[in-house]
Amino acid sequence: MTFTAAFRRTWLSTRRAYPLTLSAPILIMGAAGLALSYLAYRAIGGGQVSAEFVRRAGTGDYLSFVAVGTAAYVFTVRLLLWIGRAPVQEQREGALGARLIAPGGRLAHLAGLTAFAALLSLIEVTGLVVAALALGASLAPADPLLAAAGMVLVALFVFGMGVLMCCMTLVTGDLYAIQNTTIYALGALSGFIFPVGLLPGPVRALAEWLPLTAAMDVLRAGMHGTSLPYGRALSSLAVSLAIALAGLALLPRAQRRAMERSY
Amino acid sequence: MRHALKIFMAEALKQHRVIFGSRTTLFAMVLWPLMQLATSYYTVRPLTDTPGIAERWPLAAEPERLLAFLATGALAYAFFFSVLESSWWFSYERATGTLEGLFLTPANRLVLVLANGAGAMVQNTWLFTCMASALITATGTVHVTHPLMYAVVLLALVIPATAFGALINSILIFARDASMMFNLIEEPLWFATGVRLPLFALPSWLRACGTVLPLTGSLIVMRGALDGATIGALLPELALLGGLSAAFVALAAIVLRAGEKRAQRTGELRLS
Repeated sequence: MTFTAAFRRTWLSTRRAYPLTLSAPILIMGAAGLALSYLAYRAIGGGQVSAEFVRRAGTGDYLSFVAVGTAAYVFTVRLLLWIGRAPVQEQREGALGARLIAPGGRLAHLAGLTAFAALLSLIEVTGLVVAALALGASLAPADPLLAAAGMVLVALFVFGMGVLMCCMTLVTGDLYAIQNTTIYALGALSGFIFPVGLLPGPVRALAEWLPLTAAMDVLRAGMHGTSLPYGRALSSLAVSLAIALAGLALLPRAQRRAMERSY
Repeated sequence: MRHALKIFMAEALKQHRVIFGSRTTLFAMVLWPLMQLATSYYTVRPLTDTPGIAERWPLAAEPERLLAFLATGALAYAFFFSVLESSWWFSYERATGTLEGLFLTPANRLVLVLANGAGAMVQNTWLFTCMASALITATGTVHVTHPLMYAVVLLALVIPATAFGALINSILIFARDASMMFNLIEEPLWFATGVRLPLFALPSWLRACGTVLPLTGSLIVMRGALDGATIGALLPELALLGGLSAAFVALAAIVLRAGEKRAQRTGELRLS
């Protein structure tokens, strides 16, 4: 019931207040990223990629590599923005206190928000996939089951990170710096648009340590048929679960702190 | 002039207290532009180590020159993004009620929006300007014909960005959904102007659209001046930038007048 209520309330408030804000900005962001890579591939690369890219990415199909990465990035940004900002938004609107008094569970409420964001993201990703196919990308998965497992791993990490962001934004009262820093850092370090193997030594080590990078590797193994990093996939699963559990455990404290600060 | 100066100082002080006094602003000032620059570099890099790159885009054949190209793009974008961001912040004053108060004061509205953009730009970009300048210099690709060309570069960034900020400010403060408009402008601003791609890589219709954005001209002047172009060679571009800046300020004045009249009629200068 809490799940449905959270989903329905988010849908109604968003549709009534700012219907265009729903999808347009993130879709434009994804489309711009995809178009940049496509134009660069044609005009700068002359339809070719470097041998190092092929070695690091495990595929020479640049457009498909970028299309998969852009779709995953759009999904990540959408969910992080939605989950991470929801409680602080509620606090600003004065609804946080009332919701905490209500008997609905936190996890069900977050799941409702996540489901709404995921549905919205599905529409955005579909738009991007259609655009990518029109540009000549090949998006038939080499191993559909493995690709699905990669998507689940990406979603799990993003959910956990979103809950952790909820805690950080509630405790600090800052939304803008936290969400943008997280999104820019993940965009640069998670191998969405280029293989992290191209990054310089210490940055590469940091990027490879990120569970989202490993989740992307699994997704790419399913989509492009690259080698599957079993060990890293398992560690991504474990770390993402740990992040989500830590976020859920810290959330009551963060909410208490936010409520105390507002009086 | 004294009146205008007082508004500039007041706006800058307000922004310092509300936005730039916080330590988290450092993320926006340095970390985000640096991460965006790194992402751009590693996105383009796999395409530059390919056969025939020297014919397609000679500059990209040398990693240092490619980095300098992208760093100049990131630096110029930081100026324009800061005024866009400050316009977005300014639009919140409509919801908090202070915009109505500002419009009740005898402050000139056009000076107010110019001051808002300029105040934010100076406080937001000084640190990244220092870092990007050091980075660009370190690539060893800078060859200016005269030290005064640095001043030309700075003016070619500051004046058009301030004019652009005035127009965007005057639109966003009267918009119902300023966040949406902010996002709609943000992406085309870097995409159509040559921030991360050379202009030849863009389709002709997009290049044509990009010419009405002053960031395109600012980048041409900046990259040209740092690559040894003389003031004479850049004169047509500087004249175009001057004309565009004047047109943006004039448009801002018209939008402000129309927006205020409408707000007086509808009572929507305050959103609450």
